[in-house]
Amino acid sequence: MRVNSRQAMRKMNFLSALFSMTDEQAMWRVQTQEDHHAFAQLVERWEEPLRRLCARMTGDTHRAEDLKQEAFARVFEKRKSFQPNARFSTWLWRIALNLCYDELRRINRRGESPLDADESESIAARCEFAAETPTPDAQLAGQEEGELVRRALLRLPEIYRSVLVLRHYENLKLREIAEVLEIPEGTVNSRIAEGLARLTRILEPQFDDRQGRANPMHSNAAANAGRRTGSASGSQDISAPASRRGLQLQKVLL
Amino acid sequence: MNHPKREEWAPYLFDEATAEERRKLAAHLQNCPECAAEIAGWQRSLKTLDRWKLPAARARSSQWAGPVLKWGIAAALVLGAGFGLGRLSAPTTVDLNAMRAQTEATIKSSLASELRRAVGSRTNCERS
Repeated sequence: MRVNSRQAMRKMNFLSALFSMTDEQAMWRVQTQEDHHAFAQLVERWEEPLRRLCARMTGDTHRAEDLKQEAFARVFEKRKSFQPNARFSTWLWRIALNLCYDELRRINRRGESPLDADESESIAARCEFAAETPTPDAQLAGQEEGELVRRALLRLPEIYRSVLVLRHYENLKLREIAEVLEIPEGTVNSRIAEGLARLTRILEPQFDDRQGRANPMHSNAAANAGRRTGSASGSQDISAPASRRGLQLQKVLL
Repeated sequence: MNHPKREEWAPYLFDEATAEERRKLAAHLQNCPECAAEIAGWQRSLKTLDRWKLPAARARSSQWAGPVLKWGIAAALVLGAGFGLGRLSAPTTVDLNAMRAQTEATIKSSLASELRRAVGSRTNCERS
């Protein structure tokens, strides 16, 4: 009896997957019938990728939530201008990226710094690391490294940041990025190369300064060797209390 | 040595290069320490990007569960308060019986006095 019900459930799932709307079909329904159910499906599918994109572009999870909602509002507002032969995801990424660019321009005009630490994110990241790592020291180290990366990315010009975020974090193909940004694929490739070169120039010295502790820029063996020798010389001491290392990190960042 | 153009490395790094491109670039890396060092640096940077972890989004269920739960609790409180007040203000069975007995007694006494008065007036009329 239970086996039969399971089989029936499987069949139902298969059928629902088979007959579920594609993004383009859902958008067509939104466009022609203002179908709120179809719109809700699109929001459900895309809210997390959009939130991630906006967070990586602005370095701020609160702003990312607002930008995500604004992007969906923009999608509904501009529903009539969606081309039926276009890919919904390309259109959506483009809308979200443009909103990010606008927001970054507003931040610059107001003289705010996107490099300011995102407190809520730090706390959440702390919790996330707490689940993965056993010691408070390791938690803080992971949090500091994440913060270094966030700041390094925010120091990149937007044209380089956007291609790296779309390729590395959102896993878009180079061709798809070219479609989103409406530029030739060769330009995407050269922006990726330049972005990586700049990012490496920012990151390597910072992580080099942190040698002697877990260092993602170099092999673990080097870090372990540093631990064994008590990491003499000018490098950071792995055995130093986390708070002290935090101060050292602040110096590096400043 | 002829180095490949910088942009040629992007498809290589992200596994999007053709087999031919891949073979050519890998061969170059074998013979060019300068490019090998640079590309190794880029690969380390890509790996380092994963260190920035975003906090997980709030679960969808919790987004609507919160308000629903709040409204549920509010409704339960209002219903409970209404039920309690009703129970407190409603007359008990004992009160009803007492009220009925009291009313009956009042009616009976008033009827008796009315009857007495009527009988008395009738008797007076007959005497006169």
